[in-house]
Amino acid sequence: MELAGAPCRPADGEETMTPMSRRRQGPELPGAVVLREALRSIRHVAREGRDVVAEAASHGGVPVAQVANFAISGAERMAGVAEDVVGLLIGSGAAPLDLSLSEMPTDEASAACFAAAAYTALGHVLRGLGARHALVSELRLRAAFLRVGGENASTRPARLFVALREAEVIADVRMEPAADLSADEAVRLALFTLLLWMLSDRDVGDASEALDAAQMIGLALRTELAEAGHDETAVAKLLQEFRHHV
Amino acid sequence: MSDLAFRDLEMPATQEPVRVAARRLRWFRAAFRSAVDRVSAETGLRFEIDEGKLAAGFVRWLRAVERANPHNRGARHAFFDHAAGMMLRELLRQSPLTVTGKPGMADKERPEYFWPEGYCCTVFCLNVYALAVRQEFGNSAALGDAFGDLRTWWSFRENAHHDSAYAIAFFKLFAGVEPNWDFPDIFRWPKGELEGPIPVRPLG
Repeated sequence: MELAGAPCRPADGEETMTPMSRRRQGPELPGAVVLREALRSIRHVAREGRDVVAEAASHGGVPVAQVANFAISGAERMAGVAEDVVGLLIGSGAAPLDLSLSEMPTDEASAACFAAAAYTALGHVLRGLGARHALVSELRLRAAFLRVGGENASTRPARLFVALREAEVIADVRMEPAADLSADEAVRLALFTLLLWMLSDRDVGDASEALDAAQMIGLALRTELAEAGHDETAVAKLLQEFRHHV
Repeated sequence: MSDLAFRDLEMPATQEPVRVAARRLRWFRAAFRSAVDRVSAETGLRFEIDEGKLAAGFVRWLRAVERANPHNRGARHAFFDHAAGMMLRELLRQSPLTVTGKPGMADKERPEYFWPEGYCCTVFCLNVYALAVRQEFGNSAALGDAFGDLRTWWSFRENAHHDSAYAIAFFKLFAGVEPNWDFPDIFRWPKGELEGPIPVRPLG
Protein backbone atom coordinates (compact mmCIF):
# COMPACT_ATOMS: atom_id res chain seq x y z
CA MET A 1 0.00 0.00 0.00
CA GLU A 2 1.33 3.41 -0.86
CA LEU A 3 1.48 5.08 2.50
CA ALA A 4 4.56 7.19 2.67
CA GLY A 5 3.87 9.99 5.07
CA ALA A 6 2.54 9.94 8.57
CA PRO A 7 -0.01 12.40 9.88
CA CYS A 8 0.83 14.56 12.86
CA ARG A 9 -0.91 12.03 15.07
CA PRO A 10 -0.87 8.70 13.29
CA ALA A 11 -3.24 5.88 14.06
CA ASP A 12 -1.80 3.04 16.13
CA GLY A 13 0.05 0.53 14.04
CA GLU A 14 0.46 2.89 11.12
CA GLU A 15 3.66 4.11 9.59
CA THR A 16 6.11 1.90 11.38
CA MET A 17 8.76 1.89 8.68
CA THR A 18 10.13 5.32 9.47
CA PRO A 19 10.33 6.47 13.09
CA MET A 20 8.41 9.63 13.83
CA SER A 21 11.56 11.28 15.15
CA ARG A 22 13.11 11.13 11.70
CA ARG A 23 10.15 12.73 10.03
CA ARG A 24 10.03 16.31 9.03
CA GLN A 25 7.92 18.40 11.39
CA GLY A 26 6.52 21.90 11.05
CA PRO A 27 4.68 23.77 8.30
CA GLU A 28 4.41 22.11 4.94
CA LEU A 29 6.78 23.32 2.25
CA PRO A 30 5.25 24.97 -0.84
CA GLY A 31 4.53 22.38 -3.50
CA ALA A 32 5.24 19.56 -1.07
CA VAL A 33 2.02 17.73 -1.85
CA VAL A 34 2.90 17.60 -5.55
CA LEU A 35 6.34 16.21 -4.86
CA ARG A 36 4.92 13.78 -2.30
CA GLU A 37 2.42 12.55 -4.85
CA ALA A 38 5.14 12.06 -7.46
CA LEU A 39 7.34 10.10 -5.08
CA ARG A 40 4.45 7.94 -4.00
CA SER A 41 3.81 7.15 -7.65
CA ILE A 42 7.45 6.17 -8.10
CA ARG A 43 7.25 3.95 -5.04
CA HIS A 44 4.03 2.40 -6.29
CA VAL A 45 5.52 1.61 -9.68
CA ALA A 46 8.64 0.18 -8.03
CA ARG A 47 6.60 -2.12 -5.82
CA GLU A 48 4.33 -3.17 -8.65
CA GLY A 49 7.40 -3.90 -10.74
CA ARG A 50 8.93 -5.91 -7.94
CA ASP A 51 5.81 -8.08 -7.74
CA VAL A 52 5.67 -8.59 -11.51
CA VAL A 53 9.31 -9.64 -11.60
CA ALA A 54 8.85 -11.94 -8.62
CA GLU A 55 5.86 -13.56 -10.29
CA ALA A 56 7.83 -14.03 -13.53
CA ALA A 57 10.79 -15.44 -11.63
CA SER A 58 8.62 -18.08 -10.00
CA HIS A 59 8.11 -19.58 -13.47
CA GLY A 60 11.78 -19.49 -14.49
CA GLY A 61 14.95 -21.39 -13.61
CA VAL A 62 17.97 -20.35 -11.56
CA PRO A 63 19.40 -17.81 -14.08
CA VAL A 64 16.02 -16.12 -14.37
CA ALA A 65 15.70 -15.96 -10.61
CA GLN A 66 19.16 -14.35 -10.31
CA VAL A 67 18.29 -11.65 -12.82
CA ALA A 68 14.93 -11.21 -11.13
CA ASN A 69 16.52 -10.83 -7.71
CA PHE A 70 18.76 -8.10 -9.10
CA ALA A 71 15.73 -6.31 -10.52
CA ILE A 72 13.75 -6.76 -7.31
CA SER A 73 16.60 -5.32 -5.25
CA GLY A 74 16.70 -2.30 -7.54
CA ALA A 75 12.96 -1.80 -7.27
CA GLU A 76 13.06 -2.09 -3.49
CA ARG A 77 15.91 0.44 -3.27
CA MET A 78 13.92 2.84 -5.44
CA ALA A 79 10.82 2.38 -3.30
CA GLY A 80 12.89 2.88 -0.14
CA VAL A 81 14.49 6.08 -1.41
CA ALA A 82 11.10 7.48 -2.39
CA GLU A 83 9.76 6.63 1.04
CA ASP A 84 12.67 8.24 2.87
CA VAL A 85 12.48 11.42 0.82
CA VAL A 86 8.80 11.75 1.56
CA GLY A 87 9.26 11.09 5.25
CA LEU A 88 12.41 13.06 5.94
CA LEU A 89 12.26 16.02 3.62
CA ILE A 90 8.68 16.60 2.71
CA GLY A 91 6.52 15.30 5.54
CA SER A 92 2.99 14.23 5.06
CA GLY A 93 0.99 17.34 5.82
CA ALA A 94 -0.89 18.08 9.00
CA ALA A 95 -3.74 15.65 9.45
CA PRO A 96 -5.38 15.60 12.84
CA LEU A 97 -7.30 12.36 13.04
CA ASP A 98 -10.06 13.87 15.13
CA LEU A 99 -11.39 16.06 12.39
CA SER A 100 -15.12 15.84 11.80
CA LEU A 101 -16.40 16.07 8.27
CA SER A 102 -19.63 17.74 9.27
CA GLU A 103 -17.74 20.62 10.90
CA MET A 104 -15.09 21.22 8.25
CA PRO A 105 -15.26 24.46 6.27
CA THR A 106 -14.51 24.32 2.56
CA ASP A 107 -11.15 26.03 2.31
CA GLU A 108 -7.66 25.07 1.23
CA ALA A 109 -6.46 24.31 4.75
CA SER A 110 -9.41 22.04 5.48
CA ALA A 111 -8.99 20.36 2.12
CA ALA A 112 -5.35 19.63 2.99
CA CYS A 113 -6.34 18.18 6.37
CA PHE A 114 -9.12 16.13 4.84
CA ALA A 115 -6.85 14.76 2.12
CA ALA A 116 -4.00 13.87 4.46
CA ALA A 117 -6.29 12.11 6.95
CA ALA A 118 -8.18 10.40 4.14
CA TYR A 119 -4.94 9.23 2.58
CA THR A 120 -3.83 7.50 5.78
CA ALA A 121 -7.28 6.08 6.53
CA LEU A 122 -7.80 4.75 3.01
CA GLY A 123 -4.46 2.93 3.15
CA HIS A 124 -5.47 1.24 6.41
CA VAL A 125 -8.92 0.33 5.12
CA LEU A 126 -7.74 -0.94 1.75
CA ARG A 127 -5.25 -3.20 3.47
CA GLY A 128 -8.03 -4.50 5.68
CA LEU A 129 -10.16 -5.22 2.64
CA GLY A 130 -7.41 -7.32 1.11
CA ALA A 131 -5.72 -4.89 -1.28
CA ARG A 132 -2.05 -5.61 -1.93
CA HIS A 133 -1.31 -2.40 -3.79
CA ALA A 134 -3.27 0.74 -4.51
CA LEU A 135 -2.35 4.27 -5.47
CA VAL A 136 -4.22 6.85 -3.40
CA SER A 137 -3.99 10.42 -4.66
CA GLU A 138 -3.84 13.12 -2.02
CA LEU A 139 -4.08 15.77 -4.75
CA ARG A 140 -7.30 14.31 -6.10
CA LEU A 141 -8.70 14.01 -2.59
CA ARG A 142 -8.07 17.72 -2.06
CA ALA A 143 -9.57 18.68 -5.40
CA ALA A 144 -12.70 16.60 -4.89
CA PHE A 145 -13.20 18.03 -1.41
CA LEU A 146 -13.03 21.59 -2.75
CA ARG A 147 -15.21 20.81 -5.77
CA VAL A 148 -18.03 19.39 -3.67
CA GLY A 149 -18.14 22.50 -1.49
CA GLY A 150 -19.90 22.94 1.81
CA GLU A 151 -23.48 23.74 0.84
CA ASN A 152 -26.25 21.53 2.13
CA ALA A 153 -24.46 19.75 4.95
CA SER A 154 -26.90 16.84 4.95
CA THR A 155 -26.05 15.75 1.40
CA ARG A 156 -22.39 16.75 1.43
CA PRO A 157 -20.98 13.35 2.51
CA ALA A 158 -22.89 11.49 -0.19
CA ARG A 159 -21.90 14.05 -2.84
CA LEU A 160 -18.34 13.61 -1.67
CA PHE A 161 -18.66 9.83 -1.97
CA VAL A 162 -19.71 10.16 -5.60
CA ALA A 163 -17.11 12.85 -6.32
CA LEU A 164 -14.29 10.76 -4.84
CA ARG A 165 -15.30 7.81 -6.97
CA GLU A 166 -15.55 9.87 -10.12
CA ALA A 167 -12.20 11.53 -9.42
CA GLU A 168 -10.62 8.08 -9.08
CA VAL A 169 -8.80 9.04 -5.91
CA ILE A 170 -7.98 5.34 -5.52
CA ALA A 171 -6.40 3.83 -8.61
CA ASP A 172 -4.48 0.82 -9.74
CA VAL A 173 -5.82 -1.50 -7.04
CA ARG A 174 -4.42 -4.97 -6.95
CA MET A 175 -6.10 -7.37 -4.54
CA GLU A 176 -4.44 -10.20 -2.67
CA PRO A 177 -5.22 -13.56 -4.29
CA ALA A 178 -7.19 -14.67 -1.22
CA ALA A 179 -9.35 -11.54 -1.10
CA ASP A 180 -13.02 -12.12 -1.81
CA LEU A 181 -13.65 -8.59 -3.07
CA SER A 182 -13.04 -7.21 -6.53
CA ALA A 183 -10.91 -4.07 -6.86
CA ASP A 184 -14.02 -2.02 -7.74
CA GLU A 185 -15.87 -3.26 -4.71
CA ALA A 186 -12.88 -2.57 -2.47
CA VAL A 187 -12.76 1.02 -3.73
CA ARG A 188 -16.48 1.52 -3.11
CA LEU A 189 -16.27 0.06 0.40
CA ALA A 190 -13.12 2.01 1.25
CA LEU A 191 -14.71 5.32 0.32
CA PHE A 192 -17.91 4.55 2.17
CA THR A 193 -15.87 3.53 5.22
CA LEU A 194 -13.86 6.74 5.06
CA LEU A 195 -16.94 8.95 5.03
CA LEU A 196 -18.78 6.95 7.67
CA TRP A 197 -15.71 7.17 9.91
CA MET A 198 -15.37 10.92 9.35
CA LEU A 199 -19.04 11.42 10.18
CA SER A 200 -19.03 9.19 13.25
CA ASP A 201 -18.96 10.47 16.82
CA ARG A 202 -15.24 11.06 17.14
CA ASP A 203 -15.10 11.81 20.85
CA VAL A 204 -15.96 8.23 21.78
CA GLY A 205 -13.07 5.81 22.19
CA ASP A 206 -10.17 5.17 19.89
CA ALA A 207 -10.12 6.57 16.34
CA SER A 208 -8.51 3.51 14.77
CA GLU A 209 -11.10 1.23 16.38
CA ALA A 210 -13.76 3.50 14.95
CA LEU A 211 -12.19 3.13 11.52
CA ASP A 212 -12.22 -0.66 11.81
CA ALA A 213 -15.84 -0.58 12.99
CA ALA A 214 -16.82 1.65 10.08
CA GLN A 215 -15.18 -0.82 7.74
CA MET A 216 -17.08 -3.74 9.26
CA ILE A 217 -20.35 -1.85 8.88
CA GLY A 218 -19.46 -1.09 5.26
CA LEU A 219 -18.82 -4.78 4.64
CA ALA A 220 -22.15 -5.69 6.24
CA LEU A 221 -23.82 -3.21 3.86
CA ARG A 222 -21.89 -4.51 0.87
CA THR A 223 -24.94 -5.52 -1.18
CA GLU A 224 -26.85 -2.33 -0.48
CA LEU A 225 -23.83 -0.23 -1.40
CA ALA A 226 -23.47 -2.06 -4.68
CA GLU A 227 -27.13 -1.44 -5.43
CA ALA A 228 -26.80 2.23 -4.44
CA GLY A 229 -24.08 2.74 -7.04
CA HIS A 230 -23.78 6.50 -7.67
CA ASP A 231 -27.19 7.26 -6.20
CA GLU A 232 -26.42 10.07 -3.77
CA THR A 233 -29.74 9.74 -1.98
CA ALA A 234 -29.27 6.05 -1.27
CA VAL A 235 -25.69 6.55 -0.06
CA ALA A 236 -26.73 9.52 2.08
CA LYS A 237 -29.43 7.40 3.69
CA LEU A 238 -26.96 4.69 4.64
CA LEU A 239 -24.44 7.17 6.02
CA GLN A 240 -27.13 8.88 8.05
CA GLU A 241 -28.52 5.59 9.33
CA PHE A 242 -25.18 4.34 10.67
CA ARG A 243 -23.10 7.41 11.52
CA HIS A 244 -23.96 7.17 15.23
CA HIS A 245 -23.43 3.40 15.37
CA VAL A 246 -19.73 3.17 14.50
CA MET B 1 -22.52 -25.11 35.17
CA SER B 2 -20.31 -22.15 34.76
CA ASP B 3 -21.66 -19.22 36.73
CA LEU B 4 -20.93 -16.57 34.14
CA ALA B 5 -24.37 -15.24 33.41
CA PHE B 6 -25.17 -11.93 35.10
CA ARG B 7 -21.77 -11.71 36.65
CA ASP B 8 -19.52 -8.82 35.84
CA LEU B 9 -17.86 -9.92 32.62
CA GLU B 10 -15.51 -6.93 32.72
CA MET B 11 -17.12 -5.37 29.72
CA PRO B 12 -15.18 -2.51 28.11
CA ALA B 13 -15.24 0.77 29.97
CA THR B 14 -17.42 3.47 28.49
CA GLN B 15 -18.55 6.92 29.54
CA GLU B 16 -21.87 6.32 27.87
CA PRO B 17 -24.87 4.37 29.14
CA VAL B 18 -24.70 0.76 28.01
CA ARG B 19 -27.91 1.19 26.00
CA VAL B 20 -26.02 3.76 23.90
CA ALA B 21 -22.62 2.03 23.85
CA ALA B 22 -24.18 -1.27 22.78
CA ARG B 23 -25.45 0.48 19.67
CA ARG B 24 -21.91 1.37 18.61
CA LEU B 25 -20.09 -1.39 16.81
CA ARG B 26 -16.70 -0.58 18.34
CA TRP B 27 -18.05 -1.20 21.87
CA PHE B 28 -20.23 -4.10 20.77
CA ARG B 29 -17.22 -5.89 19.23
CA ALA B 30 -15.03 -5.26 22.26
CA ALA B 31 -17.78 -6.42 24.63
CA PHE B 32 -18.37 -9.55 22.60
CA ARG B 33 -14.65 -10.37 22.59
CA SER B 34 -14.55 -9.78 26.32
CA ALA B 35 -17.47 -12.16 26.91
CA VAL B 36 -15.91 -14.82 24.70
CA ASP B 37 -12.59 -14.49 26.53
CA ARG B 38 -14.28 -14.92 29.89
CA VAL B 39 -16.29 -17.93 28.76
CA SER B 40 -13.07 -19.43 27.40
CA ALA B 41 -11.24 -18.80 30.65
CA GLU B 42 -14.02 -20.33 32.74
CA THR B 43 -14.77 -23.36 30.57
CA GLY B 44 -11.59 -24.17 28.68
CA LEU B 45 -13.48 -23.79 25.41
CA ARG B 46 -11.74 -22.00 22.56
CA PHE B 47 -13.61 -19.93 19.98
CA GLU B 48 -12.84 -18.16 16.75
CA ILE B 49 -14.84 -15.00 16.03
CA ASP B 50 -15.90 -14.17 12.49
CA GLU B 51 -15.88 -10.37 12.68
CA GLY B 52 -17.81 -10.02 9.43
CA LYS B 53 -20.67 -12.15 10.71
CA LEU B 54 -20.62 -10.35 14.02
CA ALA B 55 -20.92 -6.98 12.26
CA ALA B 56 -23.69 -8.31 10.02
CA GLY B 57 -25.60 -9.47 13.10
CA PHE B 58 -25.07 -6.08 14.72
CA VAL B 59 -26.43 -4.24 11.67
CA ARG B 60 -29.47 -6.51 11.44
CA TRP B 61 -30.09 -6.08 15.17
CA LEU B 62 -29.95 -2.27 14.96
CA ARG B 63 -32.47 -2.26 12.17
CA ALA B 64 -34.76 -4.76 13.88
CA VAL B 65 -34.73 -2.69 17.07
CA GLU B 66 -35.48 0.48 15.13
CA ARG B 67 -38.41 -1.15 13.35
CA ALA B 68 -39.91 -2.66 16.49
CA ASN B 69 -39.36 0.23 18.89
CA PRO B 70 -42.77 1.52 20.03
CA HIS B 71 -41.18 4.77 21.32
CA ASN B 72 -43.47 4.52 24.31
CA ARG B 73 -42.12 5.27 27.80
CA GLY B 74 -44.48 2.81 29.38
CA ALA B 75 -43.17 0.03 27.18
CA ARG B 76 -39.52 0.84 27.80
CA HIS B 77 -38.59 -1.96 30.21
CA ALA B 78 -40.51 -4.58 28.24
CA PHE B 79 -38.84 -3.39 25.08
CA PHE B 80 -35.39 -3.67 26.68
CA ASP B 81 -36.24 -7.34 27.40
CA HIS B 82 -37.31 -7.83 23.83
CA ALA B 83 -34.41 -5.94 22.21
CA ALA B 84 -31.86 -8.04 24.07
CA GLY B 85 -33.65 -11.15 22.85
CA MET B 86 -33.47 -9.79 19.32
CA MET B 87 -29.73 -9.35 19.78
CA LEU B 88 -29.45 -13.04 20.59
CA ARG B 89 -31.66 -13.95 17.64
CA GLU B 90 -29.42 -12.06 15.20
CA LEU B 91 -26.24 -13.50 16.68
CA LEU B 92 -27.58 -17.04 16.37
CA ARG B 93 -28.69 -16.32 12.80
CA GLN B 94 -25.23 -15.12 11.84
CA SER B 95 -23.28 -17.66 13.92
CA PRO B 96 -20.12 -15.58 14.42
CA LEU B 97 -18.51 -18.20 16.66
CA THR B 98 -16.73 -21.40 15.80
CA VAL B 99 -15.44 -23.74 18.49
CA THR B 100 -11.76 -24.39 17.92
CA GLY B 101 -10.97 -26.31 21.08
CA LYS B 102 -12.59 -28.12 23.98
CA PRO B 103 -11.14 -29.36 27.24
CA GLY B 104 -10.56 -33.09 27.39
CA MET B 105 -13.09 -33.71 30.15
CA ALA B 106 -15.90 -31.56 28.73
CA ASP B 107 -19.20 -32.72 30.24
CA LYS B 108 -21.88 -32.58 27.55
CA GLU B 109 -24.54 -32.64 30.24
CA ARG B 110 -23.62 -29.02 30.95
CA PRO B 111 -25.06 -26.32 28.67
CA GLU B 112 -21.72 -24.67 27.91
CA TYR B 113 -20.36 -27.92 26.45
CA PHE B 114 -23.67 -29.10 25.01
CA TRP B 115 -23.98 -25.99 22.80
CA PRO B 116 -20.90 -23.78 23.27
CA GLU B 117 -21.69 -21.20 20.58
CA GLY B 118 -25.27 -20.72 21.74
CA TYR B 119 -24.19 -20.61 25.36
CA CYS B 120 -21.52 -17.98 24.72
CA CYS B 121 -23.85 -15.73 22.68
CA THR B 122 -26.54 -16.09 25.36
CA VAL B 123 -24.15 -15.18 28.16
CA PHE B 124 -23.04 -12.11 26.21
CA CYS B 125 -26.60 -10.92 25.60
CA LEU B 126 -27.70 -11.62 29.17
CA ASN B 127 -24.84 -9.58 30.55
CA VAL B 128 -25.30 -6.61 28.24
CA TYR B 129 -28.99 -6.73 29.15
CA ALA B 130 -28.31 -6.94 32.87
CA LEU B 131 -25.95 -3.97 32.75
CA ALA B 132 -28.41 -1.88 30.77
CA VAL B 133 -31.35 -2.76 33.02
CA ARG B 134 -29.35 -1.91 36.13
CA GLN B 135 -28.38 1.48 34.66
CA GLU B 136 -31.77 2.38 33.26
CA PHE B 137 -34.15 1.01 35.86
CA GLY B 138 -32.00 0.50 38.93
CA ASN B 139 -33.03 -3.10 39.39
CA SER B 140 -30.95 -6.21 38.97
CA ALA B 141 -31.98 -8.74 36.39
CA ALA B 142 -32.63 -12.18 37.87
CA LEU B 143 -31.47 -15.29 36.09
CA GLY B 144 -34.33 -17.70 35.42
CA ASP B 145 -34.09 -21.23 36.82
CA ALA B 146 -34.23 -22.66 33.32
CA PHE B 147 -30.73 -21.38 32.58
CA GLY B 148 -29.15 -24.39 34.26
CA ASP B 149 -31.55 -26.95 32.84
CA LEU B 150 -30.04 -29.03 30.03
CA ARG B 151 -33.47 -30.01 28.68
CA THR B 152 -34.25 -26.32 28.18
CA TRP B 153 -31.00 -25.87 26.29
CA TRP B 154 -31.76 -28.88 24.14
CA SER B 155 -35.18 -27.38 23.34
CA PHE B 156 -33.59 -23.97 22.78
CA ARG B 157 -31.09 -25.31 20.26
CA GLU B 158 -33.70 -27.35 18.39
CA ASN B 159 -36.25 -24.56 18.25
CA ALA B 160 -33.78 -21.82 17.37
CA HIS B 161 -32.45 -24.01 14.58
CA HIS B 162 -36.00 -24.50 13.31
CA ASP B 163 -36.97 -20.84 13.74
CA SER B 164 -34.49 -18.29 15.08
CA ALA B 165 -37.36 -16.20 16.47
CA TYR B 166 -37.53 -18.64 19.40
CA ALA B 167 -34.20 -17.26 20.55
CA ILE B 168 -36.15 -14.26 21.86
CA ALA B 169 -38.52 -16.43 23.87
CA PHE B 170 -35.70 -18.50 25.35
CA PHE B 171 -33.74 -15.37 26.14
CA LYS B 172 -36.69 -14.05 28.11
CA LEU B 173 -37.03 -17.37 29.88
CA PHE B 174 -33.37 -17.21 30.94
CA ALA B 175 -33.73 -13.57 31.94
CA GLY B 176 -36.66 -14.36 34.21
CA VAL B 177 -39.16 -12.57 31.95
CA GLU B 178 -42.38 -14.13 30.70
CA PRO B 179 -41.79 -15.35 27.13
CA ASN B 180 -44.28 -15.14 24.32
CA TRP B 181 -44.12 -18.61 22.80
CA ASP B 182 -46.86 -17.87 20.28
CA PHE B 183 -45.27 -14.92 18.56
CA PRO B 184 -41.77 -14.79 20.00
CA ASP B 185 -40.35 -12.14 17.69
CA ILE B 186 -43.27 -9.73 17.84
CA PHE B 187 -43.18 -7.07 20.49
CA ARG B 188 -46.63 -6.56 21.95
CA TRP B 189 -47.55 -3.45 23.85
CA PRO B 190 -49.81 -3.39 25.70
CA LYS B 191 -49.70 -7.13 26.24
CA GLY B 192 -52.45 -9.20 24.68
CA GLU B 193 -53.18 -6.68 21.96
CA LEU B 194 -52.01 -8.86 19.14
CA GLU B 195 -54.16 -11.37 17.36
CA GLY B 196 -52.96 -13.65 14.64
CA PRO B 197 -52.87 -17.16 13.19
CA ILE B 198 -52.73 -20.27 15.36
CA PRO B 199 -49.18 -20.33 16.66
CA VAL B 200 -46.62 -23.09 16.35
CA ARG B 201 -45.55 -24.49 19.70
CA PRO B 202 -41.87 -24.98 20.41
CA LEU B 203 -40.61 -28.46 19.71
CA GLY B 204 -38.99 -29.27 23.02
